[in-house]
Amino acid sequence: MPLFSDDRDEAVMRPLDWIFPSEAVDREVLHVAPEEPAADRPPLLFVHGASMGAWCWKTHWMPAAADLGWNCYALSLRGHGNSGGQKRRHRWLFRDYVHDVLQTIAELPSPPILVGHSMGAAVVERVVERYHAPCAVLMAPPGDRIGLVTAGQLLRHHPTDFFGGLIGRSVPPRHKYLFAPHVDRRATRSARTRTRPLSALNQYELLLPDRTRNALCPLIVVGMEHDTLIPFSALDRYARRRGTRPIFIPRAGHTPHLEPDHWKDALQITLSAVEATLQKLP
Amino acid sequence: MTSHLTRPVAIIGAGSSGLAAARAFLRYGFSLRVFEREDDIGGNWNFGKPHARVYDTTHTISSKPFTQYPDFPMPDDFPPYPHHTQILAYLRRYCEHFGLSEYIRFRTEVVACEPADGGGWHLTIRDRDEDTTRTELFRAVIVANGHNWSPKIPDVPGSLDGEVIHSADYRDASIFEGKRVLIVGAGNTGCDLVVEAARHADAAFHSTRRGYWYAPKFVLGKPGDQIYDLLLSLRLPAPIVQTCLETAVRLTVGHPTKAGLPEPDHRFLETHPVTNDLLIYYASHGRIQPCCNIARFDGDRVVFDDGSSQEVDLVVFCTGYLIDIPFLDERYFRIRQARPETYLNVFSPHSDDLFFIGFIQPDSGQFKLVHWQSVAAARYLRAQLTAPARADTFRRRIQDEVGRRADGGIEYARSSRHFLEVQHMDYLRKLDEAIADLKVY
Repeated sequence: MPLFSDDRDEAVMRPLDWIFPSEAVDREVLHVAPEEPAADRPPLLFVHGASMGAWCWKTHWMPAAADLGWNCYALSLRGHGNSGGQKRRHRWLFRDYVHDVLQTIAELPSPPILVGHSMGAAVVERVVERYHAPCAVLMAPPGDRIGLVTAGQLLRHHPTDFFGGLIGRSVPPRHKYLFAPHVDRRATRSARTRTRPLSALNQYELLLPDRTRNALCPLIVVGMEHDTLIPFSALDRYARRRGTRPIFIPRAGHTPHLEPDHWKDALQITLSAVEATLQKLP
Repeated sequence: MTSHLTRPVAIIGAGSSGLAAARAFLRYGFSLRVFEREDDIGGNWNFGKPHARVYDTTHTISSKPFTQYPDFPMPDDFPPYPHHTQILAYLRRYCEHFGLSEYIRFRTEVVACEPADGGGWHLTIRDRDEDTTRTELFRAVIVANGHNWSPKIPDVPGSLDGEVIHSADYRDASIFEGKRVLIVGAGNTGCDLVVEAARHADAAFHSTRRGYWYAPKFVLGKPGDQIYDLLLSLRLPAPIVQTCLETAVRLTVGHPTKAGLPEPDHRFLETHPVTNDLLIYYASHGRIQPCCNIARFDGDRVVFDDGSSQEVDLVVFCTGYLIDIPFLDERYFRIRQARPETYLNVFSPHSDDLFFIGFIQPDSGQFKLVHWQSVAAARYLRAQLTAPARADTFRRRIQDEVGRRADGGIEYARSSRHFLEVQHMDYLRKLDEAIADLKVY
């Protein structure tokens, strides 16, 4: 049964958001402006994955994209990076993260292209069902039923992580989960100095199949060759359900934007897919 | 000859409704032109403009989640009930973010609007700077000139030595200093103004034709409308919702009679809800004196229906506004049986390419509702091109549903004040159905 049979693209009724609006928390937003901005190009807004923060984009991708003329923004979702809401980290849900992204969007001068990675891609999916962005990039999204596949991968590689997750413990950022096998372990060590535990409630949300609506904009689904958490085959099925074909990034693991050797190739592949999509827009 | 289908869509008014319409019609692929008679956006919210009706103490009556556009939230640093300057700043950001400014023609007034032979609409447009008029053909017309700008002034016999104004001309409380002031009407404006009068005038009188319920802005530690929506989303029958709300009022600010105000002659929600804690506060401190309907003016005194009279220096009629669409034949938005002869106050049974955005008086925030009105209208116009069969079905629905009100099972008190009244949850559900039926691809 396809999960997107509910062919609805504009969601009017959101009583939960009206009755229990998300709390306001401080937000960390990083900005790297290009020296020579390319005309008529929308800004990029990067949304990190679970336990990461805006910093993961600032390391390589944002300065490099800015050199190519892209106006780059990245936010830290609540409970992540230097944003607020750290104390109540374990109770945040997708709807709170969606609130953070929409708040950030509303501060930007024009509608941004959203780039979400992993859990952040699932946030972006939920944003573009209500906000009309020019297009959205979903890197290794755990959408649809991929959460169950990821759970299976955890069970296979590190059963303790799987069972820990079941009782609400945060799945740790292991080298195997983040990077391709050939990547130097120092990459993981340096990332781990800045990662934060996942929200326990959000971890359950990630596990369960979701039921997002049709996106209001074109989606670009990006998958990595050596992604342990989200195997490319599962991603391919997901992308087809979404009416698109995934972009393949060879030799990269789950977090290509932090890979010391391949981040540049991954950025190039992603940005050229974005440019091709923008050209097709009316 | 070029077809009218290639022409832009005309939007009349660049206030909160016109901007939402511009955004929706752009998104659904139409070219457009927005006509605004003032030199700035914001309509009612642009304090000090000739047709703006906010005053210096205006805050929203509904809290942020209800007032904001659903795809463009108000900033987290706005309070739950923002001030009118913040609303205008918000509208400016909306306009900038979605690049709407380039479509707006300022100081341009639409003076006539006629259906063209062969489809589309001829608009006669007056340039206010050069004082020239021209006529242009448009694909469709979206009327978004607002319904809260043309003052409704009751006819009171006799004459008063003091001053008589309408709240449309009220800007700030300095006019109350040292005067005995009578405020007429218990809408949200009337209640705001009587509170200002209680603070600044020598004496404050409040004339209302009936007793009303006054809801507090916070209930159970939350903005009251969020609790109200909780009740509505449970889909309880209207009488139960009314009982809950009346109980909530009794438990928070108290029954109006406790503050010496007249007993309501109707149940909660049967008149447009008034949200004001301060009125109860000042009434219970004796600073507001309730009066009944005005019978006549008599020199320096105002005589009331019950025979009592008061010496008054200034009367402010907070008696609301008339629905005024001066450029359009009235048959397109006719009021019959106390409600407009339209489908959902948006679609006209007489025309496929004429839409009314913002002509609602909801028990909640306005912007969210006008956003979905605009999406529904844009989808209908798009469906006429891309999915004619669906558009035909929808056209029949418009004919069938004309004049049906989304009232959530409430019978509103008979008054011109409730011509455009809708219960927002019921209304949104009906709009949701319409939007879902109008699949455009």
